[in-house]
Amino acid sequence: MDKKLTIIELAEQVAAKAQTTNRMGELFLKELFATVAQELIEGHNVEIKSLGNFVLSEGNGADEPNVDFTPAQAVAEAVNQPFAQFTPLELSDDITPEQLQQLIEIEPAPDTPALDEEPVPEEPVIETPAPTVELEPEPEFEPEAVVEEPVKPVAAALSEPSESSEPSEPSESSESSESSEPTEPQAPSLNEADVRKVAKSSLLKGIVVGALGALLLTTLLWILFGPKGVFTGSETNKTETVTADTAGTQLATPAIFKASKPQPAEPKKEIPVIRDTVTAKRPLTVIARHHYGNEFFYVYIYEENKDRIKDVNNIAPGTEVIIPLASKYGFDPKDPESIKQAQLKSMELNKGH
Amino acid sequence: MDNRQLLSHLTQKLGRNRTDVNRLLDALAAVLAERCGELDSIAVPGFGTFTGEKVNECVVTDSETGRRTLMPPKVQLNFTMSHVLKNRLKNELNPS
Repeated sequence: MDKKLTIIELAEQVAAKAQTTNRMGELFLKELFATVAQELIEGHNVEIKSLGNFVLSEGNGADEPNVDFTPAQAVAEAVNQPFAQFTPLELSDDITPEQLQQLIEIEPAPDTPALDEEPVPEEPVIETPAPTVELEPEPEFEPEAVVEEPVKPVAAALSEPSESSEPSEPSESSESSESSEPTEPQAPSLNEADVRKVAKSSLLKGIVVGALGALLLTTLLWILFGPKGVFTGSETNKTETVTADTAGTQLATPAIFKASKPQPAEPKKEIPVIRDTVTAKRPLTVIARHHYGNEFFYVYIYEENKDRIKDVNNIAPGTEVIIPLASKYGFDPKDPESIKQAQLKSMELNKGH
Repeated sequence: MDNRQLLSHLTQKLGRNRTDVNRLLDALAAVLAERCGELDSIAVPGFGTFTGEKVNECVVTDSETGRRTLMPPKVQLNFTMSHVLKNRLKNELNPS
């Protein structure tokens, strides 16, 4: 901008555009302008189609000649390319008679020329984008708008959506220092909210990480110490590891639950459930002798398996029975009193049948 | 001198055909538009100076009808002849 090109620089650029040598460009320019000057001196106008017209005119006096240059349409449009989108605007169509009267009072109509040029700032009613952009720079509002963008969600949470449009009013330009003050207290509140959010999120993350760590630790403990009970249970033939209370529910519980509560599991003694099968050669008396040492204790086996034994003297071979613990029925296989009681129970059972 | 006469004169002086001279003229017009569009000026010794000038927006008032028109800003190409050319013209018009 505001750079002055010499004839040599112009020749170089023309030669580059025309794809010829600089020498040819220089010769062309010298010959062209010499010819035009000579024609003007001879009193002839010069018309160059692609460039424009050079016309002789009278200047201030008869002895002061002048040359008017009128660029070609294409050249004029190319020069005015930055402002090509603007078009003249007739103000009379947009102005009401009252506004026009005010304009006439403010600006008395000049008399001498048919068309007079007036500077734009004298026209307050003009509604065009170009003057408003140039005359009303608002550098202070832009940073506020940038600051207010993150505040918008907070304002929306406070159910006051109309506040966002208030700071942008142009009437508050004189109160720009005041309007900037309310934004400052909002900024710390926003920061506190952010800090709280961050603290909450970090707390949640800590809880999740702790829970995962505890789960991992219990899994490791189960892997290290859990298999003991399993191995002991598998060593006994035809036995299962169940608690004394409920065998079915305890088997359904997951292994992790057992491992996470090792101390409550210890008082519950795992009592092996002994099962046996009645065959033709192994009736209940033989099974009782095998497990308790005395055949009379079959009455307790019968008591335990009443639901599956209809007739104690006629048990189908293949019937599987559970051998109860002696403590469950309160007898001692080695105690003679217990043996007597078993005999009495056997007699009563046979009487019934 | 019209465009055709100028072309024939330049082709004769430069020893080039009309196509080459036309291309040079188009190139000169393009450079003028480009440089003056950036508000630069081009000085041609002994002839004059081409200048790009920005004209601000203005209100043009017709005193007879009272109509006002807002003229948009524009960049226009101006030419100012050099003192050499002015003196030559003056001498040509007033030889004494």
